[in-house]
Amino acid sequence: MSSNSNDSSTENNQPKVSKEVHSETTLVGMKVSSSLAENVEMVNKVVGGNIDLVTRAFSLGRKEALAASIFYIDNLIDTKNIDFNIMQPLLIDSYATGLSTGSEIVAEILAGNLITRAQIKKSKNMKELVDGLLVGDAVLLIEGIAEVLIISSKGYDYRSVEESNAEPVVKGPRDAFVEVLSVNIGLIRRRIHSPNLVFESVKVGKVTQTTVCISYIKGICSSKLVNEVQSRINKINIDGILGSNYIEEFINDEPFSLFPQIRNTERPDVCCAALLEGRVVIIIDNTPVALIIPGEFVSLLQSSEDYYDGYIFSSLIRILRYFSFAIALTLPAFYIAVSNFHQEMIPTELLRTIISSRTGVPLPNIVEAILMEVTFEILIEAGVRLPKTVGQAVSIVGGLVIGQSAVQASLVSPLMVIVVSLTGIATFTIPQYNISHPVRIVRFLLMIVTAILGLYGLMLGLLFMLLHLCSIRSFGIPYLTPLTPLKASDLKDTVIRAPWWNFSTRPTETSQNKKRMCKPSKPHEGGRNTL
Amino acid sequence: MKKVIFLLILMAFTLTGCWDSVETENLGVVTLIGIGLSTDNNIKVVIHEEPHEKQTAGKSTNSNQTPFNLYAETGSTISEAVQRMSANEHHRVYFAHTMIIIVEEELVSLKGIKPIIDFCERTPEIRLDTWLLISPRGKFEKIISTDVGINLSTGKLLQEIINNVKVNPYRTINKMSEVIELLSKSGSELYTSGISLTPRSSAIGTFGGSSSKQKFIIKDTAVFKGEKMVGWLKDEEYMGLSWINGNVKGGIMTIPFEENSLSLRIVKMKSEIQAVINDKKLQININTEIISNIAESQGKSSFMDEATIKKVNELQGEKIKKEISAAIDKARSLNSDILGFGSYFNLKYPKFWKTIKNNWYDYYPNVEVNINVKTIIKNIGKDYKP
Repeated sequence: MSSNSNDSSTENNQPKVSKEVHSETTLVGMKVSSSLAENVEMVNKVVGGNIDLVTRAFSLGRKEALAASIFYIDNLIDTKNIDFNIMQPLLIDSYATGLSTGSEIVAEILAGNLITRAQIKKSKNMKELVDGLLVGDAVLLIEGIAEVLIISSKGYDYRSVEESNAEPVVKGPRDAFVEVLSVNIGLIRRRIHSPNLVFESVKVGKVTQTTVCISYIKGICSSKLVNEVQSRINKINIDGILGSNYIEEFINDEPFSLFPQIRNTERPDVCCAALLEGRVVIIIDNTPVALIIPGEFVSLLQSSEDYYDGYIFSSLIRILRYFSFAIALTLPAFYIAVSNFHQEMIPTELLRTIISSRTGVPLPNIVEAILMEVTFEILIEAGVRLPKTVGQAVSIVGGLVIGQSAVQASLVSPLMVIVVSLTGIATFTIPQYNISHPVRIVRFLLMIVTAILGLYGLMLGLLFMLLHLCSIRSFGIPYLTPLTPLKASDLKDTVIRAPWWNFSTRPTETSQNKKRMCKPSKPHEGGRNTL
Repeated sequence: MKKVIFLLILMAFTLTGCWDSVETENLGVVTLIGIGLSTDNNIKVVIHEEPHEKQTAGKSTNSNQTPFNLYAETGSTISEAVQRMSANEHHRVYFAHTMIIIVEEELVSLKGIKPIIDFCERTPEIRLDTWLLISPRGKFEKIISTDVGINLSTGKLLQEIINNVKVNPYRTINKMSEVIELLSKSGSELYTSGISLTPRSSAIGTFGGSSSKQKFIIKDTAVFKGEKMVGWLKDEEYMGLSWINGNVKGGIMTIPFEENSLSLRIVKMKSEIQAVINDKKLQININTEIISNIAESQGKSSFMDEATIKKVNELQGEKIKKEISAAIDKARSLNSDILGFGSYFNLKYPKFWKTIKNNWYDYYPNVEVNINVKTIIKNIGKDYKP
């Protein structure tokens, strides 16, 4: 028996890392044999030599003992599982039930009785063995059995569910996704107790073999959309998936567009709302950011808070948000246009203020504006990147030194500081982080066009942008739906948010079943309440 | 095709260029233009420019500073004078914020208004809602160079005065657009307000501080015939003109009543002019309706009494009628149809108008004018008991 070579711990007699590179096909070709020694050798050939591979050899039965070996990857498994659900039944409990010979025990195991762990899979294939081993299963090989038992015993450390950082809300649920797929799925499943809620998994990434989970509600989500998402994901050919943007860039309709066509979220409640609207949600293992498909323009300017606050207030806030979107996009350009080209448009008093604030400033307006905007972008980037402990330094330097001193030194005019800071603040009202990116880029383009052509240039630039927005699609759905093409029934959830009792239909483009399951009823419909 | 489109877009940006881009601090923002006659009978142009002062944080604007910078130049045309002015200045003279144009009486009496209108119409920067004012003979220099000392540029100040219709009810002033319309319309003559500078009345003693020893008043009406100015409507004459035009939008009117004074606040008024041809006689009916409240009464009469109200109405009507006829008489004596009677005939009897258009002024003095003034006292106030 060669089992003695594996008796001791892996450190004493560590198998060398084999030079061989294993691909899927070579692994599929390797079959599990009935000789334990051969099997162990085979496993060692594939994954041996890793310090996190734990091998434990033992024998089953007091009489006619059969040698067995268990493999698992340290840190991916829950050691308690291995100890109490696998090793204890095999080595101690088996005798208590009166089993003594090795073959008796093995027969019991194969019948699925002895090992208490729920998820056990049998396989004859080396590929499945290795796959199981690498995702955190324990692999049990027994002498004389040409099969491998893959016992699920996953358990690893992860960040606990915490409050959302990127999309905070005041009144809604606080929980946000974590890096572990199963936890994230649980967070969604906990909210939608429907048998029609489906989580399909696809492995993406040739090397990383990341689990990508496509989720939708059968009967609500249009099957065409699901098929499209599946086929696009299946086409992805990449080494590894480390974040949701890897997937996003592969499945975007318009890869060269500045505008995001997929909504990102780290909130399970947002995912659930999207699922209920007939959208597809893609959750990717090891990232807390889920993708919502399709992500048309209007949905990118929505915050989940809109649905948790009263509809009147939410509608006003949405109008404010669209307004600040416009400010964030055009205010510096408009200021340049008006102060450089169309001074007749400014009231005399304001013109006087502008003149006196610009007197002594050595730079032309456009240079001043770009200088300040770039400074602002630098401050934002610094704020995101810098360690939290030095955060104060940036705010002092940014606010005091750059703001006040630049004005005092007559490097920039105070009015420009106001314009730039108003623009910056307006940018932050945009609830989706990724839709603020095109705003920040297009703002500069508009500023340059405006500096050349004035208001005419601004209009030209905006028109180009509008044309582009009209031309792109997100998973076959026009980007500006329901504004154009106009879908009157969908306007209830755009610039305004209609009261919940008005949401009697789902978005036309995404859903298969337009009517919501139950007819929403207004308060007091069918007579006033008695109290 | 894509390349061509790309090229076209590129050309749109590169070939057009920023030819009319001006940094704001290089602008000389003109708030008021004065146009007068120079000693050598050329045109003299005076402009008020907003001063450029550097904004300093936490410091209020220096009170010693003048609210405008004054530049003057002469030339045979306005444009030439402006051109000379710009050449002397480091700022680009910018007319888009001009609110007031003050024209010297001598100039419009001698050379007419045409050069000014022409300049304004051909300069896109000058707005058509710029007010046109005429400065009386010999007062131009003084008016244009006076700073009344309330830290407001004269242009802005005059605009505020003009817009304050509640305090300055008798409006006979015209915008550039109205001036052009009056000049080109058949059967009407141009008129616009005059401006004068008076010392603040000494009757109030030494109050009022040192800052405002003088003030601008917009009063009287310059009357033109054709392009040239022919005279003035003074005091009640120009008030009458504003009654006819229906321009009195508020303000106080005081009438003597039972040996005391009674002040009425004008609430609303409308005026209608009808042209009628009766048995080949030309006739104009002026119907005005004035609604007013009793603002202040020094007498002891009770306004609960209908007879009293009727009397007030009659007295008010009489006064207004007197002012209106004064305006008409003066306009006739100047032989200028500033009331636009001709244009009403033109509106109503266009064919007939064509026949008399050229010798309208033969008919003008003989047009019969009926004035109907209807006055209504709407609110007698809370203090109805004497």
